[in-house]
Amino acid sequence: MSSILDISGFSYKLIFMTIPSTWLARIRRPVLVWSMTALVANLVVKWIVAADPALPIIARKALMLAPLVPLLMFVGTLVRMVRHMDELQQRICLESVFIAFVASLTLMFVFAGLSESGIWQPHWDIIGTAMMAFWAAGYLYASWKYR
Amino acid sequence: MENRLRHLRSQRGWSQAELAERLNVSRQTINSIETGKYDPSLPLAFEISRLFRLPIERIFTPDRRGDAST
Repeated sequence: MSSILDISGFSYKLIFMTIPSTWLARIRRPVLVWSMTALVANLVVKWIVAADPALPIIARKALMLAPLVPLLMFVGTLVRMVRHMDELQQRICLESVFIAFVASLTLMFVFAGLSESGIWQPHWDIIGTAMMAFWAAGYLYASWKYR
Repeated sequence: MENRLRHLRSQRGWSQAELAERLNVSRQTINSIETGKYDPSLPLAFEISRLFRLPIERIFTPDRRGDAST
């Protein structure tokens, strides 16, 4: 264990200490914790369902709905976080959501066109990931604008 | 809108973080107001006015060009 944590003479504590304290504060935020929990739960559930095709339908349904619990917790903590933000941070959030909405709407039209023409059938995962990417990009842009 | 926030803050020897703490906002908000990238809401402008004990028009003045930055 110590050999894993002590790579090339660098103590893991030293590496940990080099991480900016603001990053650590962000990691501790419930929003990030619940989002990561929801993501991991989703991946684990998908893996279990794919690994065992003989799983009863009820168990399969229950498993597939299980990630909804951390997801709802994520949404709740996200709303609470936004409500506790100051006015500029709320504005940044609003602008990033607007950017993500417009970009996602455009993407939906493109995907609909591709799907109807039979060129490519996009998966829900891609749409969701693209929406998150648009939101992150919008947030970075809005945050940079008011830096 | 133009403002004298940086000048008033410097006069009192406060850092942006200190002023942010007094106003219960983020340091980014203070920086954005000082650089003119963001105009505060009316409640925050009144809070700033109360903190510096100055009339609001002594801190915030309309832009010479007459256009708002945000």
